[in-house]
Amino acid sequence: MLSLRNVSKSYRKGEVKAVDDLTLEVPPGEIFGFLGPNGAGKTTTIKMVVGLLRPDTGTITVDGVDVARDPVKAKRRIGYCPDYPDLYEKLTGLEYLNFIGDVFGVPTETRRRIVGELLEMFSLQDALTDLIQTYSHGMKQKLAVIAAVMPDPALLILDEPMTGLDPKSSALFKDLMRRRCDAGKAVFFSTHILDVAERVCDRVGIINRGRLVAQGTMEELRAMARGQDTLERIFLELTEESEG
Amino acid sequence: MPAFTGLWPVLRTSLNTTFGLSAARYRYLIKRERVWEPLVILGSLGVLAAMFEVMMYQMASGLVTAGAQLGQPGVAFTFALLATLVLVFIFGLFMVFSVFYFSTDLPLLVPLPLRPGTIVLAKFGTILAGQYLGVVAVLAPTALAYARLAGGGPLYWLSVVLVLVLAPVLPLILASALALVLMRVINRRHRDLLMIIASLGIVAAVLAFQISIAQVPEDQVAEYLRQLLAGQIGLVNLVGRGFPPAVWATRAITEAGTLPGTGALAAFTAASVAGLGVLAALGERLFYGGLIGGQELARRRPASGEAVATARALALKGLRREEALRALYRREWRLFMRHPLYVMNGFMASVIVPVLFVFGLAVPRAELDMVTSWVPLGGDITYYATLAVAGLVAFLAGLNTTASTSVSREGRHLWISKVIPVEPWRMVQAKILFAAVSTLVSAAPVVAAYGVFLRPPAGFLAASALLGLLGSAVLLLLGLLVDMARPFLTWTNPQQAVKSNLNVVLQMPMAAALFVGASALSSWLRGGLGLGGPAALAVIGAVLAGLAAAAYRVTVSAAGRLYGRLEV
Repeated sequence: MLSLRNVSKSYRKGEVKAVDDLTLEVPPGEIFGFLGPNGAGKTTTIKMVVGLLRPDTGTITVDGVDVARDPVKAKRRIGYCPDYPDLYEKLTGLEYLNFIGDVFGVPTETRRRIVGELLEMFSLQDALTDLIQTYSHGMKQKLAVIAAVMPDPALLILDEPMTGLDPKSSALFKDLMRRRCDAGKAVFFSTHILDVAERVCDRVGIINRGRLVAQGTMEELRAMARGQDTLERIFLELTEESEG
Repeated sequence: MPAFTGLWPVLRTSLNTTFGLSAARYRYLIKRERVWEPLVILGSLGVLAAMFEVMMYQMASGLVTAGAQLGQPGVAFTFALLATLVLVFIFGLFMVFSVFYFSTDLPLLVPLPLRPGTIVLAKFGTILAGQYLGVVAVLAPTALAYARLAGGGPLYWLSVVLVLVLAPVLPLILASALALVLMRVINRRHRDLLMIIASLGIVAAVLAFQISIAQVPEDQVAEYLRQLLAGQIGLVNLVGRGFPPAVWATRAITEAGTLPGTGALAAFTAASVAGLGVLAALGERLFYGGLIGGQELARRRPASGEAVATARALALKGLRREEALRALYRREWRLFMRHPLYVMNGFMASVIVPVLFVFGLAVPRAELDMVTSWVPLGGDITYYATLAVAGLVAFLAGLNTTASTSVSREGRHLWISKVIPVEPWRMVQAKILFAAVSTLVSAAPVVAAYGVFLRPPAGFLAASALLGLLGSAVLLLLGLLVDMARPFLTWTNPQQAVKSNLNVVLQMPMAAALFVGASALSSWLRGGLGLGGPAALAVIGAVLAGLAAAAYRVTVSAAGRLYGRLEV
């Protein structure tokens, strides 16, 4: 579903290498967790996948569509929720969702069905006709998640999706991700919360200083980290090893 | 007055972020990126400014000479000061709202151990700094013209500099005080709308006052000036009653070095300082109340489960599909029109000017008939009036910032445009459509006033509208193209996106080039080729249509490349 091949990205005319020759695959039906310390290159990678940044080298394909060659076709397959969703404050939640639905060409019945379910899940039923500027950070995060899921994309890309969600919404959202993957779609998300990654993800990739230092199932990672049992210990072992 | 510790650091930082000083130093001096850019911009603006200043100097010289014939050349200063005060007040009012209440640094400043008056004074100082370019542009030619005719020694120039420094202070204090009071009292649920209505009301009142005192029959100007200078009627008395500092400032300059002149300067200075004290006190009492009132959540929460179910049903009913271009156009319209800062700073000028135009033509019927009786319909005057009206329509499009800030306004929300599956050219089409509609709003009253008051033949009226809109289209498309090529996305305050955006200024040289080109073409067609008015208008229209079509093609075809280049 998502394929990155030898992707690199530098800032300041090559002085800072944010992502360095990254290669990874996320097949349909998989929840892939992308972990790494601050400044490791997680957000840069995600931004390249969704078209916010252009890679210096390498290719990214979504559902077989090259993001650089056919960006609009690729974007139709992606639902994206950034880590801090800066939404249009002067639109109501309803107007924002209609805007996203219209540019993705989501039929009226589909948007009513999906939004209806998610509104209840996130308890946003009575807020949708209010201006987004009146929303709390958590409500904006929930609206951004609804907007990302509403087009029913093949690939859901979420940058730190749990940060603004309360525990109940977070639990329901994890169920939603699982259901989507069971239906043959894929989820790629970055997180700092190792516990979430450990419990939700089918596979995990660990990035440090722009390089993918490890990827695999929890069992595969345990083997790589000389038998460390928790993801936190595995993460520390692998990131320290890559720095050493 | 309470001690305003921390004023200088806040003011310094506010000046730095508002005018992008550190950012400019980093880009142009340290990274040495696009160093040519400020040079080209400053050069082209310098040429425009020089042309404007020559025009202002000629007007000021005329006024000084007229006044001198009546023994009072200083009246020119009263007019120049009055113009400055009104301009600073009107445009300052819009800026005060945005800088006081919508700056993104407010959430950083409010939790700091600063008095509200300190923040108000620092913000005030920042707005004040931005006014001086305009103040110098209006007052300096008058000072030069007066010095040339009436002579001016060191004390004269010292007074000029002091008055120049103080001139925008009081009108800006007045605007700030009104904004502080308004924001404290207006209903927060409809605050944006009320803010626009209240500001327009204030501006309308000031303009009505201006127009009422400027209604002087042309054949009585000399008598009016004589009476004005003799203090029997008119401007000085009116202004003196309503705003005495304008008279003090005039006397401070024209009587520099004398006891009355020094007294007037002292009074003007004291009034400005006292005004700052009043502003600080008002800030202490009203600023946080208005600010926090605007940031509190104003949502209504239905209490019962039944109400929640109703809200849900309503929300779902509101979800319905529309065509993508229509959705993109609606986004442009809503995001612009719902933001008072955009409406006031980016759109109002192009609405106020046509309103003034209509007011200006709204003279009594008998006088109008007298004027129109000498307009030979179908003759040369109609031709030039048609061109002038078309030029005014295009000029208003030059003031309209909807296109030249279109991409810049997206700011930190640009990520949304980058991730939606829409070709950039379609987004650009929506932006063009919105700019075109906003241009019609400003063009309609001008063309209507032309039709109603000067009654040209229908063909000339249609030509004025068509030529004006074609010229507007060229300017708006080029403005949008420039904004796509070098958008200003890092603004911290929405007002900066339209007021501190060089792309807006770059539209002016384009407008100047268009006007010069159209005028030259007109002269050649009429004088060189001997074409009649309708034929010349048709040729000019065809040339403008060609330019507009070319500008549209270039803008739309460049959209993909320029949008693709933007990284968020």
